[in-house]
Amino acid sequence: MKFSSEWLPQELHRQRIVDDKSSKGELREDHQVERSSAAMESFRKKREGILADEFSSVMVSNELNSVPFWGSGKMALEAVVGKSVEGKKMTGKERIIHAAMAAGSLALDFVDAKEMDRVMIVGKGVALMEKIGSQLANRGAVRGARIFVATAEFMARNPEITARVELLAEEQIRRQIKKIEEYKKKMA
Amino acid sequence: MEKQKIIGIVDRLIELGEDKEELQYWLDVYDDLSDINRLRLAAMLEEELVSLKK
Repeated sequence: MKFSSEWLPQELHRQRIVDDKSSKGELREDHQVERSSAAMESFRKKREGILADEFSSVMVSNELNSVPFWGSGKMALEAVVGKSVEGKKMTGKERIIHAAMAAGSLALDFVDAKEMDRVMIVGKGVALMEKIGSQLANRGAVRGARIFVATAEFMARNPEITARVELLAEEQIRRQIKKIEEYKKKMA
Repeated sequence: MEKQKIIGIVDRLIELGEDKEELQYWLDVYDDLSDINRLRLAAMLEEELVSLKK
């Protein structure tokens, strides 16, 4: 038998209306939270892009990306940052550190694929940022230096996130190096 | 955009659920960013606030 609201006892009918309103309200709230969270994620990605751009511009204009292996450092950095954008969700803090690690890789002292066996940035992120900051300061790029120093401090305050992101960035950088190597072999 | 206005936007974003420590980092580096990236960041923060208030 199909019950319509007219046939329900008054109290039960009232309760149904309250339940219905409440569940719709919750749904609306869930939807809003989901939408806000998606918007925040999208703006965090964009901020990571700004930071990657700032880091690479400062490094390129101060000739700190003089690693022949990378070729165009800025493009390599964008490729690494781009990977995170396509892939897993990252918090805003992770994205700051990720952009820093991608930029830091431009200053790494490696010249060929033999270096692939060596740990590149895991456990070295803070020191790498400080080193780049100090090199920039020596070149008179004070504003750029301050950004790298502030980033080193930020990473030092967040050691667990830093360790996690260093690992992720290292994997991405290795993949990128491998791609470049394969491309070089093809072109040879 | 004036730094004071950026601080106000950041405060509102934190109230709306954004990460305080992340946004504090951006305030820390704001003055040292290049002009273009400072403008981009300011516009983006403002845009995010509008989007979250909807």
